[in-house]
Amino acid sequence: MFKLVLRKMLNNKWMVACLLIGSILAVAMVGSIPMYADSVLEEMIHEDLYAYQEQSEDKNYYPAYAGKYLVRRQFSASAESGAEEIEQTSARIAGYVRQLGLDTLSHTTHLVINSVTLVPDEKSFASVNKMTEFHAFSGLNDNIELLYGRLPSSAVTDGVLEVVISRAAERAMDLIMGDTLTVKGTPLGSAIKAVRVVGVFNYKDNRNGYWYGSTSALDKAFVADYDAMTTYCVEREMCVRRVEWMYALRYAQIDLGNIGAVLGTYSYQITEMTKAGNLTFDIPAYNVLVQYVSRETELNIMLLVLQIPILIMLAFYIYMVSKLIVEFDKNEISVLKSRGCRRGQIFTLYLLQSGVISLIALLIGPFLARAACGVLGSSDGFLSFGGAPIRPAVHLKALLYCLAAAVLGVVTMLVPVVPASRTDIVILKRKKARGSGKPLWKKLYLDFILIAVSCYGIYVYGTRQNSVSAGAGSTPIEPLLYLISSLFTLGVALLMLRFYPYLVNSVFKAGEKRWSPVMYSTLTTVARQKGREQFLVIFLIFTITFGLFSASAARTIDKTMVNNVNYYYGAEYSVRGMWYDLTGGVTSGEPANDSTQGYQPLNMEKYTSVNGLYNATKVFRRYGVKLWVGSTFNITADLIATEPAKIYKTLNMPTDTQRTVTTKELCDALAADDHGTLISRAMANAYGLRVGDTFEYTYGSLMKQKLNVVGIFDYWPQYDPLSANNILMIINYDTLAGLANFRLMPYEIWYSRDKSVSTDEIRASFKELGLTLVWEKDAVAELQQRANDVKFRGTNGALTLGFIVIMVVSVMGFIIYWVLSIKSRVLQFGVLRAMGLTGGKVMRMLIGEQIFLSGFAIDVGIVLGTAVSRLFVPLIQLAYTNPTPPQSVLLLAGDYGRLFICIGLMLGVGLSVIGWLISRINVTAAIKLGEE
Amino acid sequence: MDIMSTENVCRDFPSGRRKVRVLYDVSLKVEEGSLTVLRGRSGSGKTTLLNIMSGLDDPTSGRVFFADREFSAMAPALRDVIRARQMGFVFQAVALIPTMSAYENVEFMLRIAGKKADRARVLECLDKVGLSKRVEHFPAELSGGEQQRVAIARAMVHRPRVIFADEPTAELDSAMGMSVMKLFRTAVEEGTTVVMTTHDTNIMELADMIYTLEDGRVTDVRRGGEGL
Repeated sequence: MFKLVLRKMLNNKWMVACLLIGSILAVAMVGSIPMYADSVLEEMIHEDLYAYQEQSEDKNYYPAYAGKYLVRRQFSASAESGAEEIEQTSARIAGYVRQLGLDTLSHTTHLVINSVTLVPDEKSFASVNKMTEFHAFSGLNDNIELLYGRLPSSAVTDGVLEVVISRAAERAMDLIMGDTLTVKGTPLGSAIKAVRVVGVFNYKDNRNGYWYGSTSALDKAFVADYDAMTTYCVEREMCVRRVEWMYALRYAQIDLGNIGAVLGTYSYQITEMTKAGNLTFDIPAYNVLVQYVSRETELNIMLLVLQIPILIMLAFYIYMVSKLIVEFDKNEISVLKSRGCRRGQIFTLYLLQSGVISLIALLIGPFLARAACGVLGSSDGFLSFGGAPIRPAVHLKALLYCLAAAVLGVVTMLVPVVPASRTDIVILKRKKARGSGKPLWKKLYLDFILIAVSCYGIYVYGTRQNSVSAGAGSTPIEPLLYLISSLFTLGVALLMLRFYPYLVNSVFKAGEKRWSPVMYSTLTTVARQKGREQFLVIFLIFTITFGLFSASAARTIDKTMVNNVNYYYGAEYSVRGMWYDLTGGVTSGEPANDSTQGYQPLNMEKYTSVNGLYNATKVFRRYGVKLWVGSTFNITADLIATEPAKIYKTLNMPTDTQRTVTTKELCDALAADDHGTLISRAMANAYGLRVGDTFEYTYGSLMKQKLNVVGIFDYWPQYDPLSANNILMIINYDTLAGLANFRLMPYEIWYSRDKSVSTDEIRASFKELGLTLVWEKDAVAELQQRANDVKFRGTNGALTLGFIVIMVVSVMGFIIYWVLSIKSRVLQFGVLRAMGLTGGKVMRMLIGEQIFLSGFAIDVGIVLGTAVSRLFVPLIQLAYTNPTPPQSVLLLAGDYGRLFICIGLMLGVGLSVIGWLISRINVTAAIKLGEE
Repeated sequence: MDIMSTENVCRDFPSGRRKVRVLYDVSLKVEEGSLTVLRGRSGSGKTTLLNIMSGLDDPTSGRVFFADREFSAMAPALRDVIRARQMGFVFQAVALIPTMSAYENVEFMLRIAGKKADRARVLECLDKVGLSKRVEHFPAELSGGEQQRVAIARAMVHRPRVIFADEPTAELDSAMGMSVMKLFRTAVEEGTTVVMTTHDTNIMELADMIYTLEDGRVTDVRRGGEGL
């Protein structure tokens, strides 16, 4: 039977080749999902853990460590003993750490005694706190460097406990080497009466995590020898109030292979420690990994969802080609059945054939999947490949996905075999005589059902949009939404297909008496054919619709991301400098709403001299400003005061952000009127204010000031029109600063940025100018980071890849259709040629059919693609926490152009094939073929 | 008067590297308004001769005349025009256009011939072939014999001078075959010349002229009714 299968496949090699290509593509597309996800996720694990360190970093002290495994046990003052308990807990935690299977970079047991009152000697200048802490660390000696003095002894001689202090403690407590302080009471045990400073140390700059958190606790504390503390403060008398076991684990060992086990072990241990009741813990990696797993799931779902339309099309294509092969074999099948062949045997024949095809697909598919990952990873926009390609490994998980796709491919290929294997020669002849009847989808009204289901889905989404707020963890693409858009497309395509023949028939009837033979034949063929052309039409509609939708979704997501970042950041670069109040005190926080505190002016000359930044603009904010509008008072609003002529240049909002005017017009209006104000639409609506109206405001110690409404805005950077605090007004800073009783208060500075200057260079410039910043926001760096985000790249890549695959499949489907259509009508063409129809007219007939079928599909595809984009793209939920001005759906002319080029190529190839086939028709051979 | 004639027509076909001669110096005449039959076994060359006479194929050597003009020397485009307007065809494989009804298939021929749609003429032809009640039916809804009769109506509708029929009764039973022959006879009586091929001896009684071909040569010529 295997030989028979191979012979069959060779006899029909072109169709089998088309089926094989479809199967390979399906296996590759499915296999690319885990391959891409795993290769970027592996990066992501370590990036996430490293990012935790970066974000947690206290710049003035040592960095946080992502691999920290810290367990704490608190002891009450009434605890009588703790030595055994400490030892048991130590053993237990050491066991936990071993279970994780990660290398330990460093480890320490940290003993803490607090609330020790010390009395310095009369000659000492020490200014110790009343509540001084004493610490002891195991392994301390390897992690400090003595600046002077020596390490403390493990023995207590004459009741004196030797200690060392940090450099910061030396300064903070005004201590010097040799200072002895008397211990008041017995907080360190009855054996210790005094403490003596014997050394000053600095921390060794190591990144193995020994110094696991902020070391600021030691800035005003003493550090004793660990053995001394254990002996005198634990074993003899329990004075230790807190014990911490700290392990610095090598988090770089966590990878895709063991993350599940590590996370599971962490979860178990956390549960056990929580049950114990007396242990607390700080394991930052656990939370990071939990979030990672959630992002991994999101990414996998997102990639799968984005590929749903492509996989549907590929399944459709495989089914179609398989059906064509079976139709081609129908005579043979029916003859075999009539000769006694069982259904099972026929089924087995095709099962073997499908198996061979799927096996070849399985051998080639994974490698194509690897190439597809290159596209996914390097895509920095729709049909744009500016990023670095990735080269993932072909691992077991990907192979399993490929295998699943291959198995599904076999099942899809066998679907048309089931009814065909029932057909014997009698049934076949009868079917030929009766014709195929209405297609199943028409009988079941599948088009109406799909449209109804998808409309319901749109309605549900529309109502959900109001109640779901965008969050940082949201998936950019809602899975169901993408599926619904595909169902909607299919439903409308089928609906058009249902009614189009009636339309064509009407055209036919309208000019029935006058049509030329070419038009007569074309119109009747298009209006009345019930066969393969349906596949072609649906293919083309789906291709174009999906192409436009992908392009639109990708571009809109890109643009929305950019707009959202720009809206959140306001300007390309913004800073909040360190301000000094009038007494010289430093202010990094924001003044209270009712503050009347004044501040020293910033050195604006320096702030305008920063390398890479220009258009420096002041932006002052005040909350809880009091307003009087007509007879209404007790209104509070938020205030922004800025330099309108300059602020416009720094803003990065699209020109069509405002509903009725442009942002430039608003800024110009504000600049033209010193006492003018721009108010939010919410404020205008709440208090019935219009342009030209006036109202009064005050805050702090200012007298009531009158303002003229010169403009109403819908959006302003960082302003959320839907939030509870949406009453906002914007005024001239210079006018405000010129008012009597004005108190200069901290403001932000917004800049435009020279993109050729790096963030590091800008920061260096601030440092060089001696400017200390409380915070800085770099929109350009953020945009770059977001563009490299794995979900973002994956989205663009998947949409691009899907588009390419669909185009390839459509070209193949298109050619298959036309080749088969012409081949099955060779006799008919031969007879028409015999009857006197010229070859040119036969060609024009076929072109006419192309125009009516493909042209119809293209037109519907363009209209439907545009409609689907406008309907569904806005529903795409975007993963941002801050409000975005509404982004209209983007459909660039260039995308239409690219699509048309692809369609044009497809039609061109099709026409060439048609022309070539027609030119090869030998009339006499065609007629003879018919006789046979 | 002879409407058609052939003069020493030969036809070779390539077979691998060699050539196979299918027709050897065939010369014959077809009287206008006659039913001429080309008979012979399968492979005798009768279909090839019919194709050459109707301009569907070119002779390797020799000439074909139609209405006193050398048909074989005409440009293909002109032959197409002549075929469309002055010839009708009925093939063994009926090959009606499946998406057109019986009426539309017949009317289509009028359009190919460059004539205006003529409902009365179409219905007349369909009536002559006994299908006046099946005009709106599509080929899939008609039996083989009915389809062949539609093909005959299609071949007659534009009043051609000659109808070429290649084994028109091969797929029909004897009664149906006789019925088709009677239709051809009717057409001949109305002035149309019919040239057909067959190997069915029963229907030859209705022929005016019978040419017998064997192995590509005309081996016998006789008038209809004379013993075979």
